[in-house]
Amino acid sequence: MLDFGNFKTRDCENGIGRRSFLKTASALPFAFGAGYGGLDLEAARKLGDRAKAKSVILLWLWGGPSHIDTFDPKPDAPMEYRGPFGVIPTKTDGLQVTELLPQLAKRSHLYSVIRSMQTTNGGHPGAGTVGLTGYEENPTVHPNFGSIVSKHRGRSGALPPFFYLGQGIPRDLPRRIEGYGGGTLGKAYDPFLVSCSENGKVGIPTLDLLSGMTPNRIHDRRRLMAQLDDTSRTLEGAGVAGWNQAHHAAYGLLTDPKARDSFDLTTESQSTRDAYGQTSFGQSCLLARRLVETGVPYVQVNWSEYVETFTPNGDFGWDTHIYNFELLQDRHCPIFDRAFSALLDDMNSRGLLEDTLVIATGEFGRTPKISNRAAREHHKDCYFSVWAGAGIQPGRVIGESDKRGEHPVTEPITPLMMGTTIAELSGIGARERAEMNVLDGGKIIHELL
Amino acid sequence: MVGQIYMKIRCPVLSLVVFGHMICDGKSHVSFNHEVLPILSKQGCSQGSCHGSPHGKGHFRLSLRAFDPSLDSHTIFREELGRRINLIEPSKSLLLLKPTMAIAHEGGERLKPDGYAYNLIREWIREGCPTPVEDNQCVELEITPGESKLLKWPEFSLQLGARATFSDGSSRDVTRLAVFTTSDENIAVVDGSGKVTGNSRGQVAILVRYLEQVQSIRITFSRKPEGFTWKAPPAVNYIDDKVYAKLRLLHYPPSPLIADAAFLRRIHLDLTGLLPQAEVARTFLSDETPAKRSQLIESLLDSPDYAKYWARKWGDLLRLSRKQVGESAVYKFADWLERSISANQPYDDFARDLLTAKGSSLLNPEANFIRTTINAEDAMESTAQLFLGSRIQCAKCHNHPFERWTQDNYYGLTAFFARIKTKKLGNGGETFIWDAKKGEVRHPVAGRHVAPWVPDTGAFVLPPDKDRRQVFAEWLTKPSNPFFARVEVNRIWAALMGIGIVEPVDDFRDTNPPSNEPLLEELSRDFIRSGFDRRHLIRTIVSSNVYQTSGESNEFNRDDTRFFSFREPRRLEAEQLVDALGQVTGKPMNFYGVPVTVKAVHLPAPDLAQRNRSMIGDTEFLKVFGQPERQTVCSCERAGDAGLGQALQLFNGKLFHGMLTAGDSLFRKSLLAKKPLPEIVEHLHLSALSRFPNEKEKAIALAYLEKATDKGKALEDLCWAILNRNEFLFNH
Repeated sequence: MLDFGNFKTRDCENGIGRRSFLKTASALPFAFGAGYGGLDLEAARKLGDRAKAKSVILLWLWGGPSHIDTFDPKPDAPMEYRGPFGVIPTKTDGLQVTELLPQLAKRSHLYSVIRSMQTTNGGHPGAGTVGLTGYEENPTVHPNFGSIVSKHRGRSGALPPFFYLGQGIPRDLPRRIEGYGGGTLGKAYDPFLVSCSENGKVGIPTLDLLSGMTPNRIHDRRRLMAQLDDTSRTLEGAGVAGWNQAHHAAYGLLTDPKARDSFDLTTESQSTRDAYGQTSFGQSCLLARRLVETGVPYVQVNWSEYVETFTPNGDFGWDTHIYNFELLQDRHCPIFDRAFSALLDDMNSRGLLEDTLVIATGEFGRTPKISNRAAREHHKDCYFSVWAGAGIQPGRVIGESDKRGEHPVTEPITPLMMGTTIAELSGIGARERAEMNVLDGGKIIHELL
Repeated sequence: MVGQIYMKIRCPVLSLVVFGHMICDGKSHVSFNHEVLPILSKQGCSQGSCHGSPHGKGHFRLSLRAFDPSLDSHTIFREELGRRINLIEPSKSLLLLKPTMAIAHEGGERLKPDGYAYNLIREWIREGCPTPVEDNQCVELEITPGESKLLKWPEFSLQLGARATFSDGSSRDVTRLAVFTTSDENIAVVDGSGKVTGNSRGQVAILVRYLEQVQSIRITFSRKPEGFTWKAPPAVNYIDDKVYAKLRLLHYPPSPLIADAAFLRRIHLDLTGLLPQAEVARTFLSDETPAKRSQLIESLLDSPDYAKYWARKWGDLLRLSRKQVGESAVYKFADWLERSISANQPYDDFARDLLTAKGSSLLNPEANFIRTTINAEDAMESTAQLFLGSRIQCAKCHNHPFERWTQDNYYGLTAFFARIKTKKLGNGGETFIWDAKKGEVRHPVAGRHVAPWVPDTGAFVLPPDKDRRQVFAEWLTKPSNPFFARVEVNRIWAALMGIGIVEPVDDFRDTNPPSNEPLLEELSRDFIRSGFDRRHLIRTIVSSNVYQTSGESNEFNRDDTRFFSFREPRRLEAEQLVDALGQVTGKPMNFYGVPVTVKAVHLPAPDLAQRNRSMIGDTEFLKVFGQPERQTVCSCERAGDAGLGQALQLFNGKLFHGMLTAGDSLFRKSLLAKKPLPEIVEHLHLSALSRFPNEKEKAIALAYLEKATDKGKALEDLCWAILNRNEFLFNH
C-alpha cells in the first residue's frame, strides 16, 4: 500500500507537501527491474512544487456522446427531445442521470459533472483539436494538454510522460485530429501510442521489430557496443545519464519480456479485469491506472480510433447518426458505465484519486432534437464533462443547460478552460503557461475546486 | 449565532463614519499601502496561487502582489458587508483569525499570533483600518551590504537589510516588510527576516522586493575542498583570465585541454553542424603544423557551411517556417540570413534590418520577422525576447513579480510597434508591411494612451510623422545599450559552450544573474569594440582554453554545472545527428522541396512538408529528436530531452534501419570493392568519431566481422554499435 503522507500539511505554495510526494515517489513499484530506475529526483522536485494532480487521465469519448442520453437528461422536455430513456437518482442531490448509467449513479459522490460545456467547431477532427488543445487548428495547431504537461514535467523515469491508449490517434475517415500531439511544442512531445485489445492484449507499434531484426540481434549489437565502450573512458554528465537511461529502457522494452510487464494486464486479478469489462476501452482504463501508478503524468484513453460506428473500418465511436438509442443502450453506455466505475473504484481504493485527475468528455454533444433518422446529430453548443480526483470538489453539478439541453444557461465552459484547469492542477501556473506560450487567455474552472 | 447578529448590525454607512473619523482624528500610525499590504504580500497571501489569483481563493481576492491598493482596501474593509474586519475587537477579525488558523484556513498558518506581522495588522484595525489616498510613493530601495558579497566557509550566513526612500524624502527600514527570494535553494536559502544561509559553494542572487521596488544582491559562497590545489594552463586570452578567476575563487580546477581529434570533432560540429569527413580527419591528425588549430578555425569560419549553419540558428529564432511565412518566403528569408552571416554583417546592422524592414516580404525577405508577429504586443514581446533577453509576457497583465518590468513598461515598449500594418497580397504568400502615420497603444487599466518608452532613457516625445520602429532600433543598437550586446554575446557563448553565462539565454533578470559577470561584461565590451563582429567573437571564444577544455570532469569540479571548468557533453542536435548518420553510412537523408545534396542542418524550414500523404512519417526522426517547429522566438523550442522514443528510433526506427541495410551503403560498397576489413573498420572510426580506432577496438571489431558468415550483416551490426556509442551521439 502506498503511503501518500499527510495532505493536510500542504500550503498554498506547495500543493502537495514536497516531503509527502517524495515518500510517494520512493514507494513506487520498480516495475522495470534493475537499470530502469523510478522517477528522478529533479523531476520529483519540480513536480512536488505545486501540483495537485500528479497524473491526469483523460477518457476521450471520441465521436461526440449524447449529453441528453447520459449526464444531462431532460425528462420534462417534449418527446422528440427527451428520448426513450428514464432517469435515475444519484448520490448527488439534484443530479439525475439516465438509466443507462446505473453504476456511475451510485458513485456520483466521487465526481462532479459540468453540464455547460460548449465548443466552437461542429466537425469531428476540428472539434477534436479544439477539445484536446483548446484552440481551432488554424492558423496554428496548439499543443495537446498532455504535451503541455509532459513538457513541464520532463522525463519521469523509464516511461514516456504522455500516453495514448486505445486504438490509435483519433480520426474520422478522411483524416486524424491535428491537435493529437505536441503542436507548437514539437513532435518530441507527441504521445506514445499503445493499443489495447478487449482481451487485454497490448500492442506498441514502435516495438514491433523491423524486418531483419530479432531480439537476439539487438542483444548482439548492444554487446558489441558495450565491448567497444569498455576500451576507453566513457562520457559522463547529466545529458549522458539521461540518454543512457532512455537507451536502457528502449533496450529492455524491445528484448526483455519482463520489461513489458507494466503493460501486461494478465498480472491483474481476473476479478479486477472483469470489473473493468472485457472491452478495449475497459482494459485501456485498467492500463491507464497501472501507468499512473508507475508515475506517468498524462494518459489519454481513446474510446475509439474512428468516430464512425457502422461505416466500414469504423470501430464504434460515439458518432451515432443512426441507431443512437440502440447503440447507447446496448453497447456504448454499458461499456462506459462499467469501465469508468471500475476505474473510479480502483483508483479510490488505492488512494490514487487523491492526486490523479480523471476527466471524461467528448468533442461535443448531440442534438437534443431527435433527427428524422431517429437518432441525434452533432451539437457543439452544449455537452458535458465529468471530473474526479486531485482536489476536485466531488458530488456537484456545475453549470446548467436550458430545458431542452440546447444551450448553457450559465456561463459556457470551454475546452480552453478545461485545459487551463488541467494545467493549473498539474502545477503549471499562469507564469509557466505564459513562459511556455500555451493556453493564452484560458481561465480556470473555479467551480470545480 | 454571534457572527450573524454582528453582521446584521454592521452596515457600510457605519463603517464609513468610523473610517472618516479615524482619518480626521490624525491618530493613524500604520500605513495601509506601505505596511499592511507589503506584509500580506510577504506572508504570501496575495501571490498568484493564493488570494492573488484572478478569482481569489475562498471568495477572498487580493490584487496580485498588492499592485492595486484601492481594490484591496475595498476588498478587505468593505466587501461582504465588512465581515473581514471587527473594529470593536480587532483580534476577532476574520483577517486575523483565518491566517492564524483560529478558523480553518486552506492556506495554512500564515501569521503567528503576536508576531510582527500580526501586531501590525491588528494595530491597523484598531486604528479603524485607515486607507488614506497615498501620494507618498516608494522611490528607492537600498539593500545592505551592497550589490555583491563574497562569503568564505565557515562564514556562510549573512543578514541583509532593506531601506526604502519615499517621494516625500523620508526613509525607513523595511527589512521586516520586504520579500526575500533566492535564485537557487541548493546554494543558499533566505528567511523572512533577510538572513541568508549558504548550503554549498556557488553563487546566488537574493531578490528583495518592497512595493514596486526590486533590488538584488549577488552572494558568492566559497569553500576550499580538502586536497585542493589550483592548476590551470596559461591563459590564451581574456576569456581564460575571467573564467579561471571565477573557478579559482570557487575552487573548481579546470579539466585538461582536449587532444587534436576531440578538438577537430568539436569545432566542426559547433561551427558547421557537420562531422568532419574521414579524409579531413586523417589529414588533420597527421598534420604537424603548430598553428593547425587556429588555421582550422579560420578556414571553417570562412566556409559556406558555417554561414548556413549559423543562419539556421537564426531561422529557429525568427520562426522561419512555411506555416509562418509561406513557402516562397521560406527560401528567400533563409537565403537572406545566410548571406548576412556569410558577409559577416555587423550584428547591430542585422538587428536594425530586421526591426525596421518594410515593403514586400518577398522582395525584402528581412521583413518576414515583422510578418510573423501577430500584433503590436507580439512584435514587442518577440523583440524583447530576442534582443533584450527578456521574457516580458507576464507584465502584460500585471507588474512583473520577479523583476523590474511594470505593466506601464510593457505598453510603453509596445507603443513602438503600434503602427505596423500588414496586407496579404495573395501572390505566393506575399505580404506587404508598412507603418501607418497614426496609432497608439492604450493602457488596459488606466485607459490612457501610452507613449513610447525604453529603459534608461524613459518616455519619448516624438513628432507625429517619426518612424517609431526606427527610433527603437536606434536606441536598441547604440553601443551604450545595456542589453543588446550582452544578449547576443551570451547566445553565441551558449551555442559554443552548451550553456549560457546567463541561462536560459533569453531570460535576463535580476533573479537570474550571470554566472560570471566580468566575463559577460568583457565579452560584450570586446563585441562592441569590434563593431558587433560576430565572427570575431566566435573566433575569440573557440581560441580560448576554456573552449578547448575536455568534457571530462575531475573530483573537484564534478558538481560544477555553470562556471565552465569542463565542457558538459550534449547530444547532437536532431539535424546534426541525421547528417552524421548519413555521412557514416553514405546514405544521407533526402528532403522534400530541396535538392538531394541539401543537408538537414541546412534545411530552410522544418515544415517543407510532403504533399504526398503516404510519405508522412519521414520527418519523424528529426521531430522526435527535437527539431523545433519554429512557432515561437524562444530558444527553448529546440528540445534536448532524451526520450524513449528517440532511443527506439535508433534501435528499431525505419530511417536508421534503412541506412544500415541499404545495398549501396558505404561499407557495403567497400566490401564489394574487396577493401580489407581493417581498412573498413578504420574508415568507420574516422568518419564517425574523427579518430583512428585504438588497438583494442580494432581487435574487437575484426573478431566480430571475421567470425560472421554474412560480412555485410556483421558490418551493419558494427556500424550500429559505433553509431550508438555515446562518443558518437554526443558533442563532447
